[in-house]
Amino acid sequence: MLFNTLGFFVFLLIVLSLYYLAPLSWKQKKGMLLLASYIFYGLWNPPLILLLWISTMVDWTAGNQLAKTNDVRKRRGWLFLSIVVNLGFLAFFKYGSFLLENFQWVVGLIGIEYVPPKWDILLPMGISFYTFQTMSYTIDLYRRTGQPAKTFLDFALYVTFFPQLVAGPIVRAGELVPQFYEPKRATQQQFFLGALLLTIGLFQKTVFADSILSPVADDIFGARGLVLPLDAWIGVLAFSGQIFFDFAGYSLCAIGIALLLGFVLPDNFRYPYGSIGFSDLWQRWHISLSSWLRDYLYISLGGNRISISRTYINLMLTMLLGGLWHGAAWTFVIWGFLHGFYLVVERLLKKIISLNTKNTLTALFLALITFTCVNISWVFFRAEDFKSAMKLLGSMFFLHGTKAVLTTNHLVVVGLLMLCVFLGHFAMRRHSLTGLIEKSPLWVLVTAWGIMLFGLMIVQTSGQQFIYFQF
Amino acid sequence: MKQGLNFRHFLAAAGIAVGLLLPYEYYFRQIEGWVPGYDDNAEIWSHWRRKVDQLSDRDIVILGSSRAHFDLNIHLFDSATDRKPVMLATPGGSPFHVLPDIVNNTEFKGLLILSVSPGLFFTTADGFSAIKTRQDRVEFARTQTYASRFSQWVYQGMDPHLAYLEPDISFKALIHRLPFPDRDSVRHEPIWPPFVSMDRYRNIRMIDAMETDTSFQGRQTRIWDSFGWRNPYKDSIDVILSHYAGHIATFKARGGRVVLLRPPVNGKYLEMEPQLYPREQYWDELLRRSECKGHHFDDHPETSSLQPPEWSHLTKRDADIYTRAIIRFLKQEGLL
Repeated sequence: MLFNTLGFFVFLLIVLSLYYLAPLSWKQKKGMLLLASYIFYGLWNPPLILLLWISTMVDWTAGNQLAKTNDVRKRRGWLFLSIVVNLGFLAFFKYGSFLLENFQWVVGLIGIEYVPPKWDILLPMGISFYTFQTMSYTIDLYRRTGQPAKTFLDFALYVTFFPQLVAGPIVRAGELVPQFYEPKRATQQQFFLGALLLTIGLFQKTVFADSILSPVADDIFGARGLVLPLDAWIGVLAFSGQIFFDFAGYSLCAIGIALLLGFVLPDNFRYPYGSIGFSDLWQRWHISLSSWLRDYLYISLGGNRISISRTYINLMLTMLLGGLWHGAAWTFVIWGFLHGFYLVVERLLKKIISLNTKNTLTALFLALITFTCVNISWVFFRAEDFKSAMKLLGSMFFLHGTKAVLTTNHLVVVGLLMLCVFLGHFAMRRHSLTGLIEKSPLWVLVTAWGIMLFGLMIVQTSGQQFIYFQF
Repeated sequence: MKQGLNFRHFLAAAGIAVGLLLPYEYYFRQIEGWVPGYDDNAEIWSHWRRKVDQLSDRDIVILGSSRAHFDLNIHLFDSATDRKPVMLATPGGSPFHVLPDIVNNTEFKGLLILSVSPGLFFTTADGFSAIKTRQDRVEFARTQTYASRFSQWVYQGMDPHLAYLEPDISFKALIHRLPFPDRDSVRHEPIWPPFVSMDRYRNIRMIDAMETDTSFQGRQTRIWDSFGWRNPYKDSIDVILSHYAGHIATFKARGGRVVLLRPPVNGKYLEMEPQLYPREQYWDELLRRSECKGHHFDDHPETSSLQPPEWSHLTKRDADIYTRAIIRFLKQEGLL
């Protein structure tokens, strides 16, 4: 189910009614939320609920065993089982075709002609999110940094909780499971803050991402031949905005819906396009994934504890795998490589250049450089293949494109919107959205809320899928 | 904000939203002339496409583009034959990929009415109209989720009552109305005038304003003109005809009946289509290769006199005349 559909609103109304009005015990309410979560997922493709169940059963069993045994070999075995099952699902469903294609290419190099079988397997929605979430549970238990869930119901709800099931935030068990132990009821303030965040998230997704930015990005990334530099840059900026509003919008919806039920989910975005440098960016963009990669991959590889060169290698490896997490294609690997490269260069530069980022102009200049580099990396993220990405980069930098693609209306609207996004993120980089909401005069807040609701009513979303659902 | 948000604040915000929505709806309905009706979206098409799986030998399925969609009134078919056809013709679309979908993925063996709008019909597999129909209709129907069906069911509760929900005045479409001048080589997308009203059976009728108001008709004919007059697939005609003839043969081999229609046109379409798609090489050749009965509007006095006000689609009255004529032809030929 998609948040940006009418069907979801009917679903949410039913869930909220049962949650707040039906005479159910807390355990029954949790059972209802679990059932609702399976319906939420199953209405997309019912058989794939099986994967969720397998993941839940395996990690619940592994988690319990990890919690009660001290035998090192057994503990390793249970962790190994959890990782193999979860990564096995990912490898099969998400990377199967990619692995076969590359295997075909490699054996072709040594003269073996191999034709792989047709790999026509549907990618289960949100598989990368819930597998990472459940793996964090067993890894934390293995490291003895987490507590096992008290009941199977609490754990199953943690794996399946519908607000964040298919596109995060990737929540650690310690952040969510304890919230299931005691009866939860949103306060009036929480409930309507949740409704406002849901409105903002949907507005970002349907108005900005789907209606304004997506058509422009599609036109440029789908253009044949070289395009004019202005068109190329506006197209890339459009995708930059689209993916932010799409994903940050989803995260806000998830946080808002959870808040309607009285649960608190962590922030996933903090004005990333106002970042000064890439270390800063990754503390602002998809925070739950970057912190997952940091805690479970980068630190496991040794982090920055071994040597400087090893730190750089670890950074590159983490970002390369982070790129591959997003999709089974070399373009995503290049995207990850670029971000690893940016992080390494930034660390090197910081050793030889010291800049005063408290100076607004300096900070703005650095933010602009960061934003430009981020946009360049998005080209690989969005392009169909390496060739298309290079063609678009050629259009952006070598100024040899001659073909105009975008209308004046789109150039103006996207240009202005993305200028506002960049400056807005820069201005808000030391603030939070909820902080802004709390500080705003009531009449401003209510008027803005009303305008956004009006926007949602007129936008006529066709229920476009969220980009991150495919990851 | 010193106090937290509460229900009154939400009500105030909702009030503002409704307060903005009422004049918005009024403007598009009363000032611009948009008429409430069902959206012709992929969801409703998919709903009717699924119905094909349940049809009997006596049933009728209509494939084609907007001309079939406008010009054949399926309710008249229903009253005359006791069978309401399943309307799968798609405005701006081509039956190129829909025909094989019906032939290969269903067991339907009733009457297939295949309408020919040359510019959209005679396309290759990767032509714009063919790809658009494949992605937005055939593929969508194949992969539509239960969640999407449920949302459509909810949406249909309000869609026919609100004019502003017309896709041609969606927020995305309104961006094209901004008054910035066009670049030399890139023009904004056409701004469509109010044109149709559709019911839940996908039966489309031209609205009164388009039938009578010459300014509406002028806006529409300028849009047709802006598409240009060319036949980009003339070198592929043999492949295109073989494609249709092959699938028709398969369909007929399992007991299905097929009739081809060429609905009336007027104005520049009447002038240009015979030049771009000469009848002997296209229409006549299609009939010959497919071994089907066909009805070209020019072949019958009652259909050759019909004149679409905006060159391409019939008024309500003329659509009914055309439909009755087609029903009569089909009955005479034993196809109904």
